[in-house]
Amino acid sequence: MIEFKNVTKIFPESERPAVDNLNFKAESGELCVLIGPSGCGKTTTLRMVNRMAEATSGQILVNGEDIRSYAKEQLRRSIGYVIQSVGLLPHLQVNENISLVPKLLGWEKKRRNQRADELLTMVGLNPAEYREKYAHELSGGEAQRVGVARALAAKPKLLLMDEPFGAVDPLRRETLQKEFLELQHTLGISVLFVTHDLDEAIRLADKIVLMSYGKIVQSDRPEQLLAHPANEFVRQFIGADRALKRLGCFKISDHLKKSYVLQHSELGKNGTIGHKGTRPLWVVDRRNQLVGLIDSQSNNGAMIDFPTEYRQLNVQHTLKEALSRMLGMGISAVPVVDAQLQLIGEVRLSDIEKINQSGIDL
Amino acid sequence: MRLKATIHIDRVGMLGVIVGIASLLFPTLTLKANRVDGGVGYQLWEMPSSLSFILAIIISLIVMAGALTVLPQRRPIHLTKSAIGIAILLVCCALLVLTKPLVVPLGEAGRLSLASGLWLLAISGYILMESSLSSIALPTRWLMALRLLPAFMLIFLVTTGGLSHLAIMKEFMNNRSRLFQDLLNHLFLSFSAVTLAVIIGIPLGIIAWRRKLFERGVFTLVNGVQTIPSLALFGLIIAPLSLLSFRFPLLRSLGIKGVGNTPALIALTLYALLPIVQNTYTSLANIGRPVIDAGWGMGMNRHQMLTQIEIPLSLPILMSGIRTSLVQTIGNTTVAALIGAAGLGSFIFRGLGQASPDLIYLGVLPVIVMAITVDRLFGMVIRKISLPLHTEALS
Repeated sequence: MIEFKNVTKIFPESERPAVDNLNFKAESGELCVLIGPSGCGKTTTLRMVNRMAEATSGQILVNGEDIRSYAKEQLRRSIGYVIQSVGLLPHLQVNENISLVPKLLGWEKKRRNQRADELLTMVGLNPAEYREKYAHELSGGEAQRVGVARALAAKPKLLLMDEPFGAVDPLRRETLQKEFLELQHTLGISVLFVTHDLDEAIRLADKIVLMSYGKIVQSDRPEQLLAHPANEFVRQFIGADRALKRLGCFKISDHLKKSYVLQHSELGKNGTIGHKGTRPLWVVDRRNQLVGLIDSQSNNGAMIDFPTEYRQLNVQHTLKEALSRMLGMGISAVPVVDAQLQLIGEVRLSDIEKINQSGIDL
Repeated sequence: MRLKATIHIDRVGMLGVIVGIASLLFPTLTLKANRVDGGVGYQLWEMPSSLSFILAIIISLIVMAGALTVLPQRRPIHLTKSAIGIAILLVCCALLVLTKPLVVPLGEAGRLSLASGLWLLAISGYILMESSLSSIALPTRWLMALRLLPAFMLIFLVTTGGLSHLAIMKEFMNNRSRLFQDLLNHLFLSFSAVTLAVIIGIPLGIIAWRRKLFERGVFTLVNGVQTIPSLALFGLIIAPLSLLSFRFPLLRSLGIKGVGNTPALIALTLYALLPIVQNTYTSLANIGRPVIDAGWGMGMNRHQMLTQIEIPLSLPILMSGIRTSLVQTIGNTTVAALIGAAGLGSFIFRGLGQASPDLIYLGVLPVIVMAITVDRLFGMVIRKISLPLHTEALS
């Protein structure tokens, strides 16, 4: 748990406080995202937690204890720290880079190497292949994975991340985000995360703290922030498509409905079945895997094939992804599958409409 | 059918060939009756007919090399060209040995001086060898052996007395003990100056990097020193130092005077500063914010920061600064002889005074050998310590 109490930071060369009387709390195990336009003080806020920047006044508590009750070095070794530019030491191999903090803490070499291998596996890199590489031999994404592994090496309870995925290309960024989220849930650690990318914040955050000019403008769960912007600045920042973005906060698992299924073998000779209802019917094969759909509105009631991405929607996806697929084919529901790609239900347009009608301020 | 074949001219090799042709136009050796004799210059074709086969060999080697420079540059061509280069160097050695009979009629004091034609021929051989050796993918050890082959040949001839008729060898025999003494002094003075420059320069570089306030001051100072011609600086230091030495007898009793090693050491140290300060600064600036940030963020203390990040990462660039400084100082120390400092410069200035080029060679050659040796040794060390860093900035 982190708690900021009346924290202010004034840099010597500036008159305006970089962080102005900040008060907020992030619970244990929470992923709390600090977001805002550049210069809003989010990075300074983050760096005050491990005292890379010293607060001018106020108090910061980590797990109930004032961070100033420790020596700086001791505090930093107990908190993981990931930065956008990674900062791997170019003269050390990957495993030595990961072992930096354990080495500072005086772990034995055998234990350090064992831990390094364990962490490499955890961040999805094969230890045998990567442990002896140097930083210049890694791609941006690989380097950032090593950066995360290094931060986790001494089993910290709190992780500070400063735009960790900012320098990675968009496609890999999404994979990294997803994997990191899983990792964070498994380890149950608290994370304070700085970004200026709203989509990233919505995807990752348990709680978003939106800052401007060193002050907190609004701090809330992502779907609440998108539904109830506190003022015009927040509205501007989250954009006019907030209703759509908000759907990204809802997991399909909470809105799964029973679906109407038809065995492929039951279809008539010409592939039709004379279906007259308004709702599409999912056609599955013998293994309960999707083949196509039958919609009375189109194709004269004959079966329509599904593109790949329509056969892969699972409960981990969001309503936003479900809606996008509905719009893509002009249908009022989409099928949901499990890990074996077997049909387990569907998401309906009417449910999505209900969510946005009930919960969102205009 | 392709009418126009692409021609790849090896320009460096071509330069070697041109220098080789030029060497034939100048006197190769000068025959002198005694030490102060002006002597008679001999061109290659003026040599006794018993030596004319050497001329034939040299001409054919140069012609072959010339033909090879315009052929498509492939591995066998490179090999042949470097072989020709080495052959030319060996022929130079042979020429020195085989001309021994020329001095016999002149008696005990007769001697042969090396003249411009021979130097040019040797340079041509060296260019041909180096231009192609670097393009051949051979193990470093083999390349080194090939490079040193002519040098070993020369050393062998010197030690077996095959070159005792050369003027430079006669001068060497006469001045042997003095030469070794001056060589040691030269090395001692150069290394002392660079050691002092390291002791002063590294902290200056660190201060310049840490405190922007001092950056301009430090660099104005060390750059300023470089703009003063070395002769002038040596001269400038004499006056204040003699003054001090006369005021404080203690200094005088320590051997600190207006002329001699002390002013030379001061001037040389000042000159040696720039590469060291500059490279200390660059090496620190080169480490990069993220690495420093990560180091602090991991919880390193000041000491760990220094030993685990700053020193290992800045060492290669710092070392190449010391390398530049040392090579440059070995050269500068020669000039320091003008104000009475010990070193090989004394041979050069004596040679100039007595119009004896052989005495000058005797002073210059060890300086060149020292500078090249130091440069190569540092190069090896730097390559070793910068291996994982992948810093292209290093040579």
